[in-house]
Amino acid sequence: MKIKITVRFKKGVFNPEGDTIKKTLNHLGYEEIKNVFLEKSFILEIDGKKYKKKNIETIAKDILSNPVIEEYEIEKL
Amino acid sequence: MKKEAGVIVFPGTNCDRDAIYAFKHNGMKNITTLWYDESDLSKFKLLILPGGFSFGDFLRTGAICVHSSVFRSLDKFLQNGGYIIGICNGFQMLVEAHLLPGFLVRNTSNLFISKMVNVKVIRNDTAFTSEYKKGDIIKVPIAHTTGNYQPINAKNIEKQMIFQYTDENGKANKLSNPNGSYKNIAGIVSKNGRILGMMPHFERVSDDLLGDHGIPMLNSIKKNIMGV
Repeated sequence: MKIKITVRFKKGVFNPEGDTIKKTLNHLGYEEIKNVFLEKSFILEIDGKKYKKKNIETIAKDILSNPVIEEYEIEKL
Repeated sequence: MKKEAGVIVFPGTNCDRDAIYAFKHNGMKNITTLWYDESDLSKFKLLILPGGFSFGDFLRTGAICVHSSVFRSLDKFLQNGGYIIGICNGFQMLVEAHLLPGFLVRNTSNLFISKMVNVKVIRNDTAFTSEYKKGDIIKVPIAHTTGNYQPINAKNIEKQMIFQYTDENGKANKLSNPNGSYKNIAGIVSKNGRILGMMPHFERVSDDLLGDHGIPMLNSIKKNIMGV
C-alpha cells in the first residue's frame, strides 16, 4: 500500500520561496497570481500486513513536519 | 562531570575543525569530536553543534539530526548541568529539537548570505558572554540561507535575545538586518542560560589573522564553563 503525506507551512508563516516565485510570475506578466504556496509530499510504500495508522501519524507529526510551523495531511493512495 | 568539550559531527558537518581550532588556539585543549551516534555524554561539560549541512539539510535544516542518539541523550546531559552551543546549522538543530523556542526560515532575500556583519552584545550576564561589555559591537561572519529567526511568542523573546544584528553604531533596523530575523535577532539563549543558539560564526574570528572579536566569547566559556 502507499500513503502520501503532504507537509506545508501553516497559514501566516512567511514563505520567501513562494513569494519569490509569485513576484517572478507577476514580472512575466501573469499579474493575476496573488500568492504561491509550496508544499512537500512524501510517498511511503508500506508493507500492508504491518501497517499501523498510529505510526504513520507519528511519522507525519514528529519527523516529516515541524509542528511549530508546518501542518500535514495524510492520504491513502 | 569532567570538564571536557565535545564537538558533535554529523554527516555533512563542515565547521567542526574551525571550532576545535578556536578552542585550542584560545587555551582550551580539552576538546574532542564525537560522532552523532554517541550516547554516553558523561565526560562532557560543553557540547558544540557546529555549522554545516548536516544530513544534506534534507527534510528541513537540522531536522534529521534531532532523531540521532546524541540528541536523545541531551536531556540527561542537561540535567547533569551541561551547556550547549549551536552555531548556524547547530542553531537550526536546537530549534528543531525544541531546546530553544521559535524557528528559523529562509532569509527574506532567498539568498545564501556570506559576509561580515556587526552584532551587538545584548546580554553579558551569561556564561557565554561575560567577558564582553553590554552593548559591544563585534564583527563576525555569517554564512547561511536559513537564518531568519521568528519567535512563537514575540512578547517574551526579547529577554532571551543575546546577540542582535546592528549597524556599526549599534542601530538595529531593516538595513542592518541581513536575513529578516524578528527584531534583528542573531542569537538567543535558553531561560536557564545553558543553551545558546546563534547564526554568526564566532569561531571564525578567534585569532589575530582573521579577526579577534570572538575571543571574549571563548574567554567567557573558558572562565565560566571549562574552568581552565
